[in-house]
Amino acid sequence: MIRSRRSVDKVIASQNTNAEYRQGRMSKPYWRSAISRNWLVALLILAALVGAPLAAARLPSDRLMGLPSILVFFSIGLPAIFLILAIFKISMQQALDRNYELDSEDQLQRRRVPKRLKSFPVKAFDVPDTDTPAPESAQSDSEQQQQRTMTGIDQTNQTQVAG
Amino acid sequence: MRLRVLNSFLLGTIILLGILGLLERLGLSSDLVTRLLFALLLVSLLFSGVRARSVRTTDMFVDGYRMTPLPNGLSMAMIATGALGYSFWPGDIFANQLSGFIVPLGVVGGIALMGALFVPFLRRADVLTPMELLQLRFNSRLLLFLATCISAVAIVCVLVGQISFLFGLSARFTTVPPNSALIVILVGIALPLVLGGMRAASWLQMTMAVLVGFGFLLFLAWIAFDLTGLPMPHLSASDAWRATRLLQEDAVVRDLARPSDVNWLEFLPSDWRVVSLGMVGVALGVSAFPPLLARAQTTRTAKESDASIGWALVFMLALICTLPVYAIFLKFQITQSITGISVNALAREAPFLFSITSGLSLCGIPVSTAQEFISACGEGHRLTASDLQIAPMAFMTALPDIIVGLGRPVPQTMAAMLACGALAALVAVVSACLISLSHHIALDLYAKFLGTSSPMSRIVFLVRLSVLLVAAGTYWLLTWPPLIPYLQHPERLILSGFAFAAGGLFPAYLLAIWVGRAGKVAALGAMLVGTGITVAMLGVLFGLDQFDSVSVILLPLIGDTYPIAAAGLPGAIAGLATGLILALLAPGRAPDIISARLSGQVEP
Repeated sequence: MIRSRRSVDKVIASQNTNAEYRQGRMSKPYWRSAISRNWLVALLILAALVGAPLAAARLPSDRLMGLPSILVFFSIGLPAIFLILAIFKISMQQALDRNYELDSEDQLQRRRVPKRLKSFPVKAFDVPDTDTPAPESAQSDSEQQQQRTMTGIDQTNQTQVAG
Repeated sequence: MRLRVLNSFLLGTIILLGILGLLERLGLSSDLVTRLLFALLLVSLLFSGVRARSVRTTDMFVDGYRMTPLPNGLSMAMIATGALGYSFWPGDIFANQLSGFIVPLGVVGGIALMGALFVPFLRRADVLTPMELLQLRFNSRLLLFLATCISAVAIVCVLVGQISFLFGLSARFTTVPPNSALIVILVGIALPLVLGGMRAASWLQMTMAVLVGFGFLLFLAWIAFDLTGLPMPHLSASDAWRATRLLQEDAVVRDLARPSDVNWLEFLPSDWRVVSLGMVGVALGVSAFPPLLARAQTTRTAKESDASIGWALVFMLALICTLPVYAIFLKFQITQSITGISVNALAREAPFLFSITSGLSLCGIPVSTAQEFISACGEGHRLTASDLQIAPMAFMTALPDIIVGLGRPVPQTMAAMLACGALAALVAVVSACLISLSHHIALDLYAKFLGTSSPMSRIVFLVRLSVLLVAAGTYWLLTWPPLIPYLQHPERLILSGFAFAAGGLFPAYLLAIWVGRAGKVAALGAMLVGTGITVAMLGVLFGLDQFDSVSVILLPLIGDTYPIAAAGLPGAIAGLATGLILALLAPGRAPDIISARLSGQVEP
């Protein structure tokens, strides 16, 4: 199969990322970026909540669409600001995940609920059960993950999607 | 698949409404119309139960990770709105003008905040309940127990507050005794949840959303059509508002109204800081409210759980821009009909007022009989629009009486659909609360403490059993005499629930996801300090009536419109500060498996 230069770069970057992650070096820069982006949006939302009444109190007593401007601001403006901030956050999160080749859609594994629950310690949550079909091959998780990235096929997403 | 069934349900509801409207024209009694619409609601409950029945473990907890963003966002919006949003918020804007936006905007801000801080990471953690994230992250039984108790208290406050709206609805629209109506609704909600767990809750919330949408918009569209000839309430609201203003200006000239009455909905009645504090307090509570967080886990992927927040905000935007339209139309009708009327002539000029049995006040005094109407403002008093107050709690039940009483030809199908929508909103939020509480009992408490190493089938059975136990407990709680006085103000109970979530759970989730150094000591400290301060705040605020000296100090600081809205704020700030200090003094480390899951990686 012929790959474009861009896709080859992506695969190499992904292999590096996975290798870095396996060595425990990857999560720090990812989290630094995630913290800066998500906290920026959270602070903007809090600023909107705190500042909106102040801004509304200083709005001129004009009419917008035939209604008091402060009423329009509270009933349409402020909820729309929250919606825009949420969309902004979603796009930033997706861009961040793409930068780190962490496409959550590809790599998210669904919970395998164990037949017998062992609550503590946390490692007990990785026991497979009958709800999710067990992997057919005996490959390790990291090998499967690397193979998925190389071939572009997401095997985990093929289960339990139909509703 | 879900969207196809949802579309079919939507189409079926439209056809049924059309048939009912036609039958009403042909002489079907209004009582029968109401009963048929309530039957539609019960059929939807049964349909959800049958459609969602499941034996799969993941269906009981996270709906099999099936939800696509649109229905999941719709469910989120339904839980955030509930009976409070449907039945109370429009009346709150009518009664308290722009202060009525504090809670709705706080809720919308809370959903946005939840999306920014918790949602995709909670889904990536791949947990079955929101509490499980705290357990996996901090690996502490004590913390899990404490968090589950705080969450249960928060959910019970919201559950009791939301379901208390049922009493007003059943008294107004049915002849069924309130306690019997409560049993019917609780059994109707519990049965689908027993059969299908979280999957059934999803179906309930989606089907109820259809009824809520019709109920909320049809009545309004009919009033707009009657007034302007166009069934577009949002477009004709400005005309109604301008007409009300002109009527008030005329009343001022005739010395029948105060000049301040002219500026209705034009100014913030409270200090801006009070509004800000209230909105931030509600937002923090909503962002960490477990039934809403549970909706972050029902999607197929983390990306879709993020998109659900966007859809939820779209639906909330649609709701919030409709709230003032209700208030504007009713204000116009009341201003037009009662301004200048003598109280002695009320029985002749506005007899419909006497059919409203609760929630009406005249000149600040609650009234229900003809004599009370006359004596409230003094004999011979000529009424102004601001003399008549409608309690927000009674707004939706009084609205059809007032509109029909004023001679507007509203079909009973519309009025009954308004009530049916209120009931549907109640069902949606109660289903979310019941299933969250049963998850707490079965998984967060039993499986993690008593039945460690239990077979999963036993835990699933316990979830089913817990739903029935929680429903029975809710019935007992709502009929418990000491609680009855608190049911008169359900908004206070609901805001107390959000305050508990803000003070106790918000700092813990923030530390779990965003502060890598935070260990169980930091999280425990944050939860204990946050909850302690919230309990103290709520104790003071609920007792304000008894302690005048306290109210003199506190009310100017936090405002007298919605003091309880801000009750969780000090707890959240103090809890977070404590958690951060303890994280520095006694750092901990997240287990590798959780770090891997939160950052979107599978376990290496």
